[in-house]
Amino acid sequence: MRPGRRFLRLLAAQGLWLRNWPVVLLALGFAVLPLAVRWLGQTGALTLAGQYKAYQGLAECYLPLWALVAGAVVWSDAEPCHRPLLFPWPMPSCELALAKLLAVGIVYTLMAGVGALYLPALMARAGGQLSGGLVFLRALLSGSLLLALAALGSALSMPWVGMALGAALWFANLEAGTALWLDAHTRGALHLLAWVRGSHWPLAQVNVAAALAALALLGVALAALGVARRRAQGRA
Amino acid sequence: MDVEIKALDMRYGRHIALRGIDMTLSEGVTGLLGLNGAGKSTLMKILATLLLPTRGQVHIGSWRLPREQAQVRRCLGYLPQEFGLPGNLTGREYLRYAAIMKDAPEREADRWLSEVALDEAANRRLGGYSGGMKQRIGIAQALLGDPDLLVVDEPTAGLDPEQRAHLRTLLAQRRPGRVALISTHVVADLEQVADRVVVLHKGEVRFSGTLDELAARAEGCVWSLSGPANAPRPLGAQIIAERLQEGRMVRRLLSAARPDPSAEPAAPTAEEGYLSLIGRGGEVEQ
Amino acid sequence: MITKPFRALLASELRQLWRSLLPWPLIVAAPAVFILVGQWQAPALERLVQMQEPLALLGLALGAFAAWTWQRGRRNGSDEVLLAWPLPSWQVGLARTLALGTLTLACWLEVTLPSLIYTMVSYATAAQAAGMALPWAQALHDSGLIILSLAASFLGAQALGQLAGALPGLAALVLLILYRAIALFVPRLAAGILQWPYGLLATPEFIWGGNSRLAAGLQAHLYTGLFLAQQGFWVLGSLGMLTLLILLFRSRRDARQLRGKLLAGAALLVTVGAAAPFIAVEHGFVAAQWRAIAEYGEAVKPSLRLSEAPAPREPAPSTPVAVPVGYDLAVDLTRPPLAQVQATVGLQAPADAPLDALTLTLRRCFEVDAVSLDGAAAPFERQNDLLRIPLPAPLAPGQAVTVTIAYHGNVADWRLDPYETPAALASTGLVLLPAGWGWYPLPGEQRLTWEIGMSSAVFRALADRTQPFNDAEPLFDVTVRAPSAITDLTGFTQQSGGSWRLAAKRNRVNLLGGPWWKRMQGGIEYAVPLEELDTWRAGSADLQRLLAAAQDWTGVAPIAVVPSPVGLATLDDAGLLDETGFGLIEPGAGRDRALMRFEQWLRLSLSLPAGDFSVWTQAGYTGDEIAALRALASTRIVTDAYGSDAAASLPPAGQAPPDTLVAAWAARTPAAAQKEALRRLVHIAQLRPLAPADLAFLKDGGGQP
Repeated sequence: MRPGRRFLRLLAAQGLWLRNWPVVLLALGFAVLPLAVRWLGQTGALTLAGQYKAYQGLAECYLPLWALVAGAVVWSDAEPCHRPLLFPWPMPSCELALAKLLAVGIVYTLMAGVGALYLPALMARAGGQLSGGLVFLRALLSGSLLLALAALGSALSMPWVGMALGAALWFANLEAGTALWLDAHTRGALHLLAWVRGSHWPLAQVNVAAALAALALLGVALAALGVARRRAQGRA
Repeated sequence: MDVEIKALDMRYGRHIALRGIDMTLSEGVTGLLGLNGAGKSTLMKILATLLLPTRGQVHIGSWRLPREQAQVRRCLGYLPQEFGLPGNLTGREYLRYAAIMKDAPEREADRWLSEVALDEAANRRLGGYSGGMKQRIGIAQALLGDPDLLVVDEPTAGLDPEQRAHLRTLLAQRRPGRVALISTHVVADLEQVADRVVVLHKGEVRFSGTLDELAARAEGCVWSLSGPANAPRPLGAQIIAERLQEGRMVRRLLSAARPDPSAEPAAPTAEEGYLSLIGRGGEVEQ
Repeated sequence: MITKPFRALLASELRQLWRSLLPWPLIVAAPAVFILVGQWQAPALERLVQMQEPLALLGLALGAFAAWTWQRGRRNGSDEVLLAWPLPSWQVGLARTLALGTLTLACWLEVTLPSLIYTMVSYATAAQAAGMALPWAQALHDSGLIILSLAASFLGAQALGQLAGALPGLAALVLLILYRAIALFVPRLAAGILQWPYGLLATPEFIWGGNSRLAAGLQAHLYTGLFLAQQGFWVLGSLGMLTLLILLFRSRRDARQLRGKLLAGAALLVTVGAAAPFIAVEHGFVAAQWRAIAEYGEAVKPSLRLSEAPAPREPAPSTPVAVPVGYDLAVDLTRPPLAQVQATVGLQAPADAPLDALTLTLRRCFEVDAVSLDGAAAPFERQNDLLRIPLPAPLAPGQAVTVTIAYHGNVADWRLDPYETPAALASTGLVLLPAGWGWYPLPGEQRLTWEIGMSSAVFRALADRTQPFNDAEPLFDVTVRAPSAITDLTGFTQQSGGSWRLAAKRNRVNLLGGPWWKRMQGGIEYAVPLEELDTWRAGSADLQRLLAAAQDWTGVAPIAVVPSPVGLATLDDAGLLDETGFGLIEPGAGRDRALMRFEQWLRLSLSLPAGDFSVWTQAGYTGDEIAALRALASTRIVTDAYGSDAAASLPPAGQAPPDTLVAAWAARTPAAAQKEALRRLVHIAQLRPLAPADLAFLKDGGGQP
């Protein structure tokens, strides 16, 4: 089979692992939340400022959690007990890892785009200058970092560790002191809430730093399964 | 395709799991016998590219391990002794996923579901499968893609007699160029399907030959003894079988010398040949 | 029950636990949190607050480990063997729980014991600085809160972890993470609509991290009852949950067993039932607030609709309003929450209109006992917040009259959001009576505005600032008798008899007092709680420079630094920011935090209802000229105090798009003129809400409001 078609089949097959109740429930929840915020705004329960802050929080704070959970769950077939079957299969490690990351990434990108759709209308009323693109990018980049951490741990046979690392980064960002320290010392790359809280750096710079960090971690995650495979060969 | 193993060593720290293994596996079914800890699973994992040997060479067809393990995996079907299955997928979904991973057509998944008699349970989740059903799914994924090298570790574990017979038929399906290596504790399974058998003991090859040759190892050492129901067991002989028949105790014994004056010599089976090779307490009888 | 097999099983579980590598990072992390986190000069409770976020992470890790351990037997198949042995199933669960409990106990001890020692030492040194004996009651009270809070956190972590461990594999960790994440935010969102889910949704650390005002209130010992209820729920609920999980262990023999299902149902009921005392306290609290609302203001049934900021009321043109000349107030707060006031008010008819009646605004909670006009008893009418005194003869324009009003009432006015702050309170430990709340008679029909909405909004209890009185500065002579625990009443001087007195021309008088110790430094008054007296962070040189720069740029003087049990937003709403009274600043734990809070103070003093964005717009919102001016002021003040490097590292409040108008103005205006402009703006903002016309100077060439 041609490599392209084979990869597409593999990519589509990752839906089997994402078809997992926490992942699906969360995805549905996040899909509904922007609508709920909009409804609350229309009924007057939320002011424009409230709606604005709700979208901010959703994009930067909560949506990335889906990426963390999905990023760990999509590696279900790579758990230690399944490896005796997985490793002898001929699918190259990098290709499998890429398919998993892409599968989560595609769904996440769609989810991140939903909230961004509401921003232009909101900002037109408020007169601000923030764009849907900014919302989208913040959600995407924060989520990519957590996805990469979860994937890294899972690929190295430590799904709990990967998820715990991502959760630790997320919770650490909730504390202003820690978050601002991360912001100052990583040029905002590890400051997941740079938009909500504010940053020492312009947001464009923060996005670039976050993108580089996410790409680096994703690259490591891509290679991790192959490393795990070779490590397993070296011992019982 | 042949599999050639030369001077293969496998060491885990100070423990030597395999020592100086030399063997050639040709087209057909080869059985692998040995006690627990003999090194059977280790050898199978090496052939399945799960482990790298400490020393030695393994040639699978024209490919050499570990350099060309990616090519080997493309023609490999492997069933490990212990494996996990994702409980939330159905049997059909899992086999289709395995087909994708092995670059095989997805319709093969349905074909092998029929072959292992899991059609009716195909749409049930793997988490609800019995041990035997899981084993059959494992066999099905190993056979997906019509592999040239089939490495199967304890395939009949957990299967009932009918399923074992069916599986033997499956595994024994001859295909030009296919090399099948089956490890089992049940010698009777090999008697039906294996062309050759290899006995491993403490990491070394102790025997390689046909089943008849294996049985011949116990020539003159197998005895049949019939006595009163309360007759004591004869000393110095290994009891292979013992049952009450019409009020008399009939025993089948393994002993280098006649264990009892009334014992009659019996024709040895392959299992008895294996037992005589391994001996009481694991010592090899020369 | 402690049979030999049980002992052997317990020993086996302990061995498996402690021989594993995983518990040891937790053992190391617990004391590391105590040592490395938080300020060592902070009072013990405040230090606990500072530790709460890392402790919450530690709790998550402990819960994850508990889940993993609880799953272990199922994962490796050893449970199947165990359950086939003749040992009762619940003993297997108990052994595993007790083994985990040793880890929980170890972590708890590693944080609690040092915290208790720290508490005692902290109070000992503070008492020495105050020249008093060790306040054992206060020290033991705080120690008890610390013990309970940490027990709730660690026990809750174990219970949640074991509960999550009922799910297979990674799902347990997902559940723990999501629970913690949701519990940080949902109770706050829910609080405006649903009160009681706190007990079930919130984690034990919520009080500290998720609702820092409650934590701040707890340090001022205002909310002990609520705290005990919530943390007590977590302790009892966790113990109940663990007990039921132990009993449910038998259901692993056969998950479909009816008994197992019944036990699972019972587990749910017990957990909900354990929340009952907490829910009862909550409801009591909320009911009291509703009663207070009904008593103090125009009760508005809470709904999802959030009303916008009310438009300023136009004064009734046909009703002239008297001008205040002087106030002589004698206030007795010695029997809290009762306030008894004798108010003698000198009023003058306006220069352009006669007066035939006096219309005054006085909070409706006060019952008027007697009214006299120039010494003669006078009839009066009382309706809601209004007090109308018909004059025997009309007052000619400019003519004066003295009215004496005796009134009394209970002062315990809370906001609807639970765990928020009092709008006005007279208690043994706190006196808070803001001028705009209407505790003394205000001329005219002042609207005491209430808005009730979601937790993102707060009440507004401001006197309508469009009334002329708000520009006047009558002479106030106020004498207050306060409870003995009140050691400082800000702006007042203590008299020989123990009462407090203020005599000055003011625009308004606010009462704010607490068990604080007054210190003066650099012309700034500091009110320091006993717990901080030994270190007196408020007197640190850094904060001193900041306050001096702030005073220079805003013109607010004098400044008093008070520990705020009420939070700055409340103070703004209560109208306590007052150029002739005092500006209030919460002392921060470190420079960064001082900066953040200081910025908040500036925001509040320059706030402006504009369109859909109301005064409670949080610092995160940006996009208007006031925000840009605020940022400019912050930058100037911080530069003066700490230099330009510090200003460059100021965390911006959200990504404020640069306001070109303000930037252009700042670029063309010398620093001295900028300072003058900001001072004038602050002065205006103290008297009334800023209007767009006040900002016209940004566009004009003049540069001055």
